[in-house]
Amino acid sequence: MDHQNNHERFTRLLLEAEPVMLRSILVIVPNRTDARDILQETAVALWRQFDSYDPQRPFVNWAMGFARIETRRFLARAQRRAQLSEKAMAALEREMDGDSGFEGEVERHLATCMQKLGEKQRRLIQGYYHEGRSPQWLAKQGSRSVEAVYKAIQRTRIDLQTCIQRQIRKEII
Amino acid sequence: MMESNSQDWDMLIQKHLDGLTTEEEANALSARIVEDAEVRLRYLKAAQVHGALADETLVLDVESESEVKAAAPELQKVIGRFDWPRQVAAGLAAGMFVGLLGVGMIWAIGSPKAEARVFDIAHGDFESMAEGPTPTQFPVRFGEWAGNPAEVVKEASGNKVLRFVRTANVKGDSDGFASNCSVFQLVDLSALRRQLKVEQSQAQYSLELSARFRRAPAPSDAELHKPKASLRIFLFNAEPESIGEAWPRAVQMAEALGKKSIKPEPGDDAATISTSCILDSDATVALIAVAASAGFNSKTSIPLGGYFVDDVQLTVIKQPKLPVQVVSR
Repeated sequence: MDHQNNHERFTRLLLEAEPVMLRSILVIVPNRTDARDILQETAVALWRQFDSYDPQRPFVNWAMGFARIETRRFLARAQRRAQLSEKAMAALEREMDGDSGFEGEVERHLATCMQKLGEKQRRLIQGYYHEGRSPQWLAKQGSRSVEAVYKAIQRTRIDLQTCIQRQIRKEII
Repeated sequence: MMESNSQDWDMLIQKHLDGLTTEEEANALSARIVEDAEVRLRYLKAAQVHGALADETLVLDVESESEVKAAAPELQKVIGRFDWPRQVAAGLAAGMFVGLLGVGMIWAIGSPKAEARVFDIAHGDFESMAEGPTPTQFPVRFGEWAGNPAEVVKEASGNKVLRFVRTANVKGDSDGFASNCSVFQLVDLSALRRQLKVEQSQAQYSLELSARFRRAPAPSDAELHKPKASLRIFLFNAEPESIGEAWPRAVQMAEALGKKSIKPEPGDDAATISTSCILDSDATVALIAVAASAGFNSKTSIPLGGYFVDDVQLTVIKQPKLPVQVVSR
């Protein structure tokens, strides 16, 4: 019974912490499939060590330490893509710990900024991110080159980032 | 690469986020991230947008708002639009009920160029409401507070406030998110627009929604990660009941929207926040929402403890039309 309760409690805490963990992993490992693999490994490690979790501490803070270890393990194994240096990763993690507050702002303004995108841009983002389509598939559908699809996705992300920053400035004014 | 400008770095960052950088480019980017705080910040911001887009479960203040797809043609069928005579009729009936036809309005001059008209929205201070839970459903009529589990409570001073009890999914969707406790009110705009003569006016009108939030310490505080209180206003050209029927997809059809949130610590002083949006569309209904959220995505209901809201107020601000539009869809 205790084990059952423990498991349910762990599952609930994990579900709640997962989005924060995933987004932090994606900063260091931007590939979504890789990031989800790391998240999976982190979940296994967390469950193994769950007995040592102090419920007085926020679960997500405890879990983030594991996510960082699993991220490093993954990067040590994976050689498929060019990676950031250890120093750069550490610098980014320090910055994230400082919490510029932008993450919360992204969360707050993304819906508004998505609405401001053109129909083609929105469809592209939905296909790439929400439907998990490959750039190759998107290129075929749109009768354009894979490179053009990547460029369009990248420009759209910059547009969203600019829009979010504009929304923040507007609030300050 | 070393002499590149910020746009080049932005493109390289974007390239890296898609896993397209070469070893040499990744090394150059790494070195720059270490030595240049500006590039580091730019990388983080870009990665956070990428992360938010990749996180399909991201909840954007309203449960499942992020799941709203660009399904405008389908939605047009769901959200019925008023024809003009019905707008007027509904406006007259509901406007009188909500008190938007002029009763209790106060004009204030904020600056030589702007004028503010304050409305007493229905039960904005909760004083005339009975103590106890508010209806747990999406509101269908103008002028009633309803939504996720919340209750009107009386403080020791005798002042009544709304307490957010627990998060829930307002549509009762068992697969949907239950990450926040939102309490909504539909406000009729058609009477207001007619009175202000928005269409013919040379002035620009905006609606400002404000509310005072307070967070008291509660046993469940340890369960919450970065909880926040928020305020939202959506303007629709739709029949009020159709907004609830199409919620949360109805968000996609909003003519304008404004959002603001704060993350109060337990025991902090009460804080008033406000958000606004421009009333230059053909919107006939405003949906206002006050909410407290757990700060993470959850499909299970979470007790919110000590979150309170009071003094919800809607203000119309009139100012000369500017050559540049500040807020748009």
